[in-house]
Amino acid sequence: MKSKLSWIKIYDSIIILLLFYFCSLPILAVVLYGVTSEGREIGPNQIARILSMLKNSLSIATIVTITAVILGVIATLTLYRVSFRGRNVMRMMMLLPLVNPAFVGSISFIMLFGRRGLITYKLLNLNVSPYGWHGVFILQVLVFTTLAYLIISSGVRNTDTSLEEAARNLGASESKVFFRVTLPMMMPEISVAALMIFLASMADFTTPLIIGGSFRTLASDLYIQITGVYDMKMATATGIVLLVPCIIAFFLHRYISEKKRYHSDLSSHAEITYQNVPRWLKYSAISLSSLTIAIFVLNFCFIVVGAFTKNWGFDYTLTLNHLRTALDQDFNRLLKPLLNSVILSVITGFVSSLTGVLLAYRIQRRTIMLPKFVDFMCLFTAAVPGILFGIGYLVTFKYSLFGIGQFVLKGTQPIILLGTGIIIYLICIARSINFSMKAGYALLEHTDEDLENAALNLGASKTKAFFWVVLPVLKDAFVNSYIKVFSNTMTTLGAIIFLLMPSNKVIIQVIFQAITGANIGATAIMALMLSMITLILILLFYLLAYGKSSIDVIRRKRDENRITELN
Amino acid sequence: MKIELRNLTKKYGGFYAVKQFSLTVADGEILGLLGPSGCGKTTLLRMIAGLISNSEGSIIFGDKEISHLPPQHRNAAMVFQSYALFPHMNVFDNVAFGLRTRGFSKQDMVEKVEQILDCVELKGFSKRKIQELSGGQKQRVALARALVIEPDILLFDEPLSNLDPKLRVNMRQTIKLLQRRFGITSVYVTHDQEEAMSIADRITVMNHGEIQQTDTPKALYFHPVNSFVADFVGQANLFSVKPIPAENHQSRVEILGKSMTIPVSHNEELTMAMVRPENIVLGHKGIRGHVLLREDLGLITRYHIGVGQERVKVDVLGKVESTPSEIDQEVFFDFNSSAVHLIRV
Repeated sequence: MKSKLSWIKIYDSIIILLLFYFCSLPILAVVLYGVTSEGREIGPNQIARILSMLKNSLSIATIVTITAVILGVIATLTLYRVSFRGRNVMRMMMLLPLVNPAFVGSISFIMLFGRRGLITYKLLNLNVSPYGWHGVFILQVLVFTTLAYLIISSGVRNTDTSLEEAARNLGASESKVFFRVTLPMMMPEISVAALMIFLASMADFTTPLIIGGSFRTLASDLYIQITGVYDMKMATATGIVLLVPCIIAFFLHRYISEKKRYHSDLSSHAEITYQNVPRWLKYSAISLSSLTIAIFVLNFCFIVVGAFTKNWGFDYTLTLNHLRTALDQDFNRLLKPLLNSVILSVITGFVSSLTGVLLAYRIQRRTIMLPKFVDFMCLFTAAVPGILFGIGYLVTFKYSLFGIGQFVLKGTQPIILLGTGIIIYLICIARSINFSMKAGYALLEHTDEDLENAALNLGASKTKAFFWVVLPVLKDAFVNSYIKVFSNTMTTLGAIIFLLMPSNKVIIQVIFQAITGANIGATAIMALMLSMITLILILLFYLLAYGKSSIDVIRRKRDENRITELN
Repeated sequence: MKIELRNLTKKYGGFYAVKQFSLTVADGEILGLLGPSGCGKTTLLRMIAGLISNSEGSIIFGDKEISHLPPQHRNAAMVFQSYALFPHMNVFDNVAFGLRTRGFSKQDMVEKVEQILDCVELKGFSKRKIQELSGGQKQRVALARALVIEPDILLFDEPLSNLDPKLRVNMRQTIKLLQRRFGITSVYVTHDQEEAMSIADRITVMNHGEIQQTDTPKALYFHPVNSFVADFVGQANLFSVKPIPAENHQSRVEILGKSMTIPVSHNEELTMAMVRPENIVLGHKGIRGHVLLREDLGLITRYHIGVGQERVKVDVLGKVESTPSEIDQEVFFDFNSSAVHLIRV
């Protein structure tokens, strides 16, 4: 028994070391590199430029966060607390933007409001430009409102409705009930949503690049620094400036949520609806939510339309040309990147889910060394913008032997990760583990702690208890995590964009290049293909995981919609 | 199989969850472990099961010291408070789990599982999912899962605390009958004194990780050794007293101004007097007090009577119509010296 224990310790040490190498070291490396590396001096002009972009990033992230959260709260309350016909359909449509990669929304935006947009140019004959901060603002709000809605609505459904009844019973007016009970009880979800949106907005470099025009943010500038002039010193310095507000937001949220830790003991799934909503309030809430949803639907429809229109802005004849060109293309230009994306996402999904969920299990049961440290290492990667994480890999792994080879083992055959296919897998897994861990924690919160003990008590060996009980019990967490990681990885770009080689291009990169090349038809058809393939693969995976009962599971999930971002 | 615990201790840092615990459970006996939450009773049970390692002391099953053995080799089946039924398996697979780990053949397994399900009145439930069962049915499955492996020892960790009162009374009879029938030595943890008294042959009362008293339910009730046991097992009126030695191995005490001689030889440690509420009678003379509260409990009526700073509980059996009911009404009550027990603090 003694020797077995030390084996587990060795195994744990290796895991912790690997996590540190691939999750934490790259972040440290960016900071170290930015501070220590030699290169062009950063003069006062550059500092002023960085600061002005910091201002851009912060202001756009802040107003986007506030707007999206408010819209999310309104949509949640409308769709879950006001009763009217058709709200079930609206709930489904609210999730539409999830099907598309984030920046694809900008296609239809350009199609409608661009220089030769359908509405601005064709209908209104205006000559306005969508390019600038307002374009970035609108697009980010559209994408992130869905995220806010998803997270916040999962909270509203799980709060104890008797609290509101108690407040009413104690004589509080409806508005008091809302502001003193309902809203505070939603605060944990609201703060999670706000943090996620703030971080995502700070990290988003694609939208400013596509639609920002001369409006640059730290993230979009980082991209230009590296792809354009390859000024590493400048890029890492910009990266540090970008990292600071993200880290502050991350810790602020952690601090607040730990200090104000409350949740209702009892969560009822009973839906309650407000009975006495003033008519004007009810109808303005419904119309605002309908408007949001209408934009989502329009957005999606125009991607479909754009995919089958000859030359948007000039020639509106319907055509299958884009589809034909896409399919006729050389294997390496479209199908190979698509295949690469699928393989990458499937493998990342499996490895990350297995690692993350099991880590969550062992951290929660305190059977791993340094549980708090491991938890922190994994979750902290969520605070780091993907593009910066990618730069971290770039500066760390261009050296041999996991980035420390330049200091030791001089003269041996170097093993350099940069430029290999493996590094793409490693970074995707490292960035996904935090999602998987959260999925694990979410499941464990309502799983009996004694299941493994019961198995041991009935005579199962540790191995049998693991395979017969622990693994099957965690199955739902594996599936949730896999779906999330899979679809994330299919559309992830920031982290891997600098690490990709021509040989392992992914589809999202091809789409991004098409959109920056303003090729609307090609972009739209590829975006559509990506969405469809992602959806089909997710359905296939459900079938694989649950067999005949898949439909029940999907329906149940839709009803519960347990979002793992919480925690 | 006999269980013997010797100086069993569990330390967390400087905190003793269980301290120097020594106890023997006879073969076939069912021992109740009773105590308030946090007293260490569950820790003790888990040490016996091997789910928590002991810091010191030894655990002996039969005549074999087993405290170094991992839980899977102890053959001490546990019924968990939360049932711990495997949610991904149906009733059959849950019950058959222990048989499967022991390598039983499919045919034997089916036979044994059907038989035990019959015992716990769950015939025909083997294909049911766990989620489809009621609380009481889950409890029966958990019981069947523990019994089917024919364990040397049965361990119960507050198995009925998640059931409603009516079902609880029903289930404790089932457990007692099955334990008798199979004759398996059992340890039964609970914080419910009535449950412990109904089920157990003997009860160990625990507090702060230490044994307070081990005795039969009757002895615990009528002869508690200290005020903790007196108060925890049943209802008790406790008075601080200063006994004075009297002749013929007796002690003289004064309670609520009433002086009496009690047939207990003087002992400096005995500075508490206990009187059970049912041993006090209301009347027209004796000690004077006033009614603070009256509880109509059906079988009995319980009065809370204030006497100066003290508060006395008095139980009156049966129908009471002539007795006082007004709050603050003046009442008189009295008790015999035979109702008074001197105990430690």
